[in-house]
Amino acid sequence: MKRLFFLFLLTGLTTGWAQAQTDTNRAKDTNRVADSNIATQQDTSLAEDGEAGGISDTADDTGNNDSQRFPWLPVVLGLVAGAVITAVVMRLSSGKAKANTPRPESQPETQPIREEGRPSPQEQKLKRQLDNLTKEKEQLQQQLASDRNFDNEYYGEAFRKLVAPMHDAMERGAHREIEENLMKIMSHYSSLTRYKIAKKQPYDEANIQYLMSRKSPGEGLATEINKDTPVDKIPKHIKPLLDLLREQGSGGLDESIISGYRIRNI
Amino acid sequence: MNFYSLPVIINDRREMLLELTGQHFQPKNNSYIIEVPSLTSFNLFSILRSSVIRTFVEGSHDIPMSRIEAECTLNDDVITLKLFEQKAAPKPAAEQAPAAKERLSYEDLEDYVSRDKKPKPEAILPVREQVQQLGQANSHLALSFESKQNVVHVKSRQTREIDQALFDRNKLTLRVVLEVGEEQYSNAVDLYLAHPSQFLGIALDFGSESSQMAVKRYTNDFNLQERRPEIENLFRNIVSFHKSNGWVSQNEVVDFYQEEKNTNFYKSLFYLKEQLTGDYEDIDREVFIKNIADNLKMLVNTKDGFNTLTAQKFHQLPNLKIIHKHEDLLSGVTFEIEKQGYGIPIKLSEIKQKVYNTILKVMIASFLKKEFIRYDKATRFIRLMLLVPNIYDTNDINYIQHQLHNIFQELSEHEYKDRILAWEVSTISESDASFIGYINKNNISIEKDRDYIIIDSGKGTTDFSVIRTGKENIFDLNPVYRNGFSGAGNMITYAIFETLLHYIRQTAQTHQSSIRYIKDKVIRILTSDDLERKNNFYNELERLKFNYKSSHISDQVRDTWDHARSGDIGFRDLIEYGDGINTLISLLSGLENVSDFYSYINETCDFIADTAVRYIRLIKDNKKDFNCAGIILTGRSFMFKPLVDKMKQSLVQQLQVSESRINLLNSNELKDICIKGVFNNSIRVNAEMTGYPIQLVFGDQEPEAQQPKKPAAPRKSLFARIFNDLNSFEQAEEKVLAFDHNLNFDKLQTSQFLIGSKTYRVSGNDIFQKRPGVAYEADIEFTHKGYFIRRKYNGIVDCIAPMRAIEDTGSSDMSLIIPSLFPNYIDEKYLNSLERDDIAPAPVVPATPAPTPPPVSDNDNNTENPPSNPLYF
Repeated sequence: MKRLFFLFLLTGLTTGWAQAQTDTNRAKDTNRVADSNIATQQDTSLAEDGEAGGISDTADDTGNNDSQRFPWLPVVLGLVAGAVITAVVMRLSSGKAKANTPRPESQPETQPIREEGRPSPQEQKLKRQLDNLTKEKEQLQQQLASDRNFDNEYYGEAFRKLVAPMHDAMERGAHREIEENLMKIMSHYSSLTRYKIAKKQPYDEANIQYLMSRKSPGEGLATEINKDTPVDKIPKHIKPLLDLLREQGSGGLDESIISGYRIRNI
Repeated sequence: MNFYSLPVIINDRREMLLELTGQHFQPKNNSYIIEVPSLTSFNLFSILRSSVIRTFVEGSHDIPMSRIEAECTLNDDVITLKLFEQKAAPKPAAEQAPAAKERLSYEDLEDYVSRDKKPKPEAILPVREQVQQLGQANSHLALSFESKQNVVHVKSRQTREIDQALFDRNKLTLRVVLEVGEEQYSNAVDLYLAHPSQFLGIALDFGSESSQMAVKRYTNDFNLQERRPEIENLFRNIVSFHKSNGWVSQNEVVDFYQEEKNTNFYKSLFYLKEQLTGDYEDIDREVFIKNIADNLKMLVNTKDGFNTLTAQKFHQLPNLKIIHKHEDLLSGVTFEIEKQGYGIPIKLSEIKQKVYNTILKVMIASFLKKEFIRYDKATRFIRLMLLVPNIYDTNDINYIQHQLHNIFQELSEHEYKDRILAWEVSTISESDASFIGYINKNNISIEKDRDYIIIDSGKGTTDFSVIRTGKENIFDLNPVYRNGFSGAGNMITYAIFETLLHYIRQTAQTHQSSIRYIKDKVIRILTSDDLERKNNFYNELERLKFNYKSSHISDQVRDTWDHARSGDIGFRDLIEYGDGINTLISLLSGLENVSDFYSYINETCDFIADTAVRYIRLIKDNKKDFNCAGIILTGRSFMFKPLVDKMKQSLVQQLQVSESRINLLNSNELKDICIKGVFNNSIRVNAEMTGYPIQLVFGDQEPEAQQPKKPAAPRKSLFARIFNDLNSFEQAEEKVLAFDHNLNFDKLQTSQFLIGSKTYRVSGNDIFQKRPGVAYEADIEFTHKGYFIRRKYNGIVDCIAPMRAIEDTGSSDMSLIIPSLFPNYIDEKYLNSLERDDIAPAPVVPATPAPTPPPVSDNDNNTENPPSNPLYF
């Protein structure tokens, strides 16, 4: 019996460890940014909560940073699963013998009265824990999938709209396009960075939405600067960019927003 | 000093002092325009019998008008009014002279003063009443002379119906000759009898924030009715003037910063080029800016005007009223006039008056051009009234009047030769004009012989006047006191700015220096030429000011600040993660209200209210017949309720006036009424005097020189260390209101005199050289050359000394000036929220998972080449 018990325990541990290893690898794959999303619960709509992909303060507070150091959660899951299975098997195998053993009088109430075909309270408790942890695991897996989807989509679009055109412009020596792309990359990378660390500016979402070709961002998030904008209404920190773009004969940066200003039709 | 000063009344509307001198010369700028009513007779010139001819001839005595006989003649349009003492009038002084007594103690002086107040018995013969027809002044008007018990008049009446036909002659010279013994003292004024259709009254309010103009004229029809004063669209006039002169393109359709939409105001924004061009023969003597189109910009288009001017090195001129006498504040701004290929440096203080004169000239010329285009071939007699701030002293007023004469002189000799036939210029205090506007309102009850207090708190300055209504006629207004100080609406906005900076320092969680952040990312932008962000920031502060919530819900307001977000960023992460001033503006735009978290706002309101009331209390405590009938609060600052509450509270507590007597006026309404009100010919105002002197007697020790403030020192209270003249007045052991003629002579040497907004002391030593045992008296009198103190012995003036203004050369007022110039001028040293060291920052949170503080918007970090000079917009 002891062998059997040991076997089951080993099975549980092994399962947990395997799960943990899998998650760790995934975590490594998605780098720290994906890891940091662990506490974010809903990521289906960027526009709805504005936190998808970013670290919330809650995540810091609940200590989920630990998960970045070692994948404790799958290990715990494995341990719990192993323990539950072991307990059930032990109970089944020793039930008859134990039934003949006189119970110590000192613990009459503490011993669960096992009814035929019904789990004991301890089993119920463990089962609830298992259910909760399973749900949590599913949510985290969904989150991870969502983050992966976001990253795949974002970086895919970024490669298509920013990286590839940049390479192409460099190959062609097209100064205007190089400059436009540099500014766009700066704009979008700034937005993404702030977004990922949960320090976004109001217009950062609009930049991300635009890059991912999702719904058009709200107009109120940025002030447009175009050829009709009075010189006196152009803030000094935008003017150098405008001058550089004009020097190259650029028409602007389309929907990309820099520091709250959308430069287009200049 | 060799003249007699005769108080006269011109045309029942203007009191003035006519200085009768021994020399025969015709003073310039002594012209008065008299609008001739179509039906009724009218007074040209009056002298009240109750007045006194003051002597400024040593060894002579004052002459009461009650002892004066008068004769009048008319010859070739010259009226000669001869005044002489009654022959049989006894000399009362000699036998009644008190026995010589040494008056060395303060107690003796007190006895003397109280005795001096008793009316001196004088043997006065009744004056010989007479009425005399002098002859025809012109085709329509006859002149007469009346000498009565209470007044001497030169009058005029219609001898022919006044219709559209103009008078054949308009000018009358009235020469007044005073015979004293064998000597004759005389002076003359030119009176121009203006046909109603030729009369043009102009009132110009050259405000520090905005200017406006009103015009009064008569209908040019058979009625010749007086029309209601009309507000001119000064801005449109200036635009048209610029276009007609080719200074801006005729076809240019642009907006200008100087336009205040939906008003007739012209915003007082002026730019002067650093490198001035023009052929200046004598830089010091030239009174106008040459090549106006190139050098002085009175219109700046909102498209690229500001940036263009900045690129061309134009400097915006600061609020001229606030920096009056504080031009050194802008010592960093220098100009240069190129002469013979060599740049002559010239300070703002030197060039400021030229700019001011030029602006006035453009304003007046822009209106006159329209006038003479519209009324082709018309001729005009013009009377101009300029509203001036209370901080202008006699010299300032004389100077500005002189320059206005120069402007009209030049216009009448060149552009409008034979069109401008004559002109009269005068000035009136802005707060006096407000009172006139107030009493012109309907449903206002004004009492005779009572004091009224007017407090006008605008954006930059708070002005106040105490005015006494006439004993017989409420419209005989006597200015008792006028003064003003820097500190009003802008100072309140500054307090909100301080509140914000304090909040940032206290709230931000950062390893960086919050002070460094504020200096680099906020103040640097606000002192740069980044007009857009400066305006955005300032607009948010102004909006919050109008949405101020009182202290009892301060916690709720504070909670909204604590939870304010721009994206994910609140005030806590502003420094670490914000995009400089952009995020700050964004955060402010999300806030609905502000409250007084740290008492900056309350202290500011306290300061404004307390300072105004303490000045007025000087009058209340020392003017024996002070009898306040009402207090009028006006000006934009009183739209800020906490200031109204504080002001009312201070007035009730310190002046013991009933709150029901305090009237809060709608500033926009009054701005209109006051400029129209100055045309009211029923109101008699002495606009030349800036106020009556108050003697401040200090102990044997001179009052300690005011210590220059060290604003950099940490302060518990924003204004705790503010020094002003009020503080030194508190040291005075005795205060005497000098128009009661009870000056404390023995303490003259240790006295200062508060007259209007300035403090004076006696100049020279002669007046202090006393003969032992002689009981001297002294009084202070206003002349066109300034204030003089006269020493008298037995009624004989034996010494006259000028009063010299005590120049406040220290930086004591900077704590008031700089907040009042906000946001156009900011000096970190005067930001209490930065200087104080008792602001505990919030505990720094552990490092966030973010690898490094994000380099968001490094544009604000560029500290290279910060603008060296302040700019104003």
